[in-house]
Amino acid sequence: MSHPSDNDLVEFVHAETEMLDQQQFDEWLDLFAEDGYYWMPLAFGQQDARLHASLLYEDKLLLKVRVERLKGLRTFSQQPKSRCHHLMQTPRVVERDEAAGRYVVRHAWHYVEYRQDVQTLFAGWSRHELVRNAEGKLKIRLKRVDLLNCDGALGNMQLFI
Amino acid sequence: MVEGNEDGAVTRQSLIDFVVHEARLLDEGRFDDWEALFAVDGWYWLPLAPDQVDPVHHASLMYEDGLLRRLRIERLKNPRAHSQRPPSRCHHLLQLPTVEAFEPGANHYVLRTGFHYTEAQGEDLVFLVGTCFHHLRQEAGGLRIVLKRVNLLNCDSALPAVQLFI
Repeated sequence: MSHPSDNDLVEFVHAETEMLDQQQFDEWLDLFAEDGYYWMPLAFGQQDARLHASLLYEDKLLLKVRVERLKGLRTFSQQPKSRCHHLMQTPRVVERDEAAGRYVVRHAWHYVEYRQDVQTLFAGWSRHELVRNAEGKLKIRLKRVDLLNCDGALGNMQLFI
Repeated sequence: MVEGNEDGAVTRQSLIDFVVHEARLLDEGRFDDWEALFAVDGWYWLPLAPDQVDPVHHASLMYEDGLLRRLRIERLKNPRAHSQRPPSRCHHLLQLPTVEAFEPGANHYVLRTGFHYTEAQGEDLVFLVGTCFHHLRQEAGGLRIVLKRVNLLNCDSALPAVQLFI
């Protein structure tokens, strides 16, 4: 089983983001490891997800609930639906542990969410901690999303950054 | 996975990595590490006019040598810098840098990078757009900045206070 190249890892992150912009949420969810988490810290440089409040700290079950909610016909806050757009800096592989099959990729982005004539811009950084599962496929163990203004008064965010 | 450039030959990739790393240091508020990337005679320049040629005989938004940069950095750290309560944070979104000059013989390298810059303080966001030019030189400790020129799209408009470094 050969190790993923830097390009493989970068392409994984590009593909992940593309799924969000294309609203392929089921495929997106499938990219997470069974014990994977999606984390949006509340504080800049926050180290702890459990003993400190976060904006979001969601395991795969909670992510699935959110994805199902977006599909629900009675989800009135999604009539009309939101759309989102990610503009990404080229991701960089910042950690690589071949023995453990663990890789960390980081990139800066602008995220724009649109609904009913209102476009909202967020700026931040994402850190993908990727692992290989039994079949050798890359999965997300932790997607950490740091907002530039994480401690500001933020409006509703309907989709996933 | 190069986070800086400690040794070895200069490659196009090492130049690009340098520019990305430089922005990351600013985003993480590691200003001392950032300042260490400059050559002793290195300048940080924000022209006031589009296509401005001369930083000395024409006013600029900023034209800062090491002394002035360090003064600004020390101010940011000072607990009595009231304009930094709460502290500002910045975010660079960089286009992939292009190598505009690659001259190992002259030890002269230039990169061009389009960027969006966002500065946050409390509930306020400042959003600036521009193109950055890094003039680099290989020294004993690695690549160093001889000139960082930041061309703002709206350099000649009335700008808000920028607290950090673009």
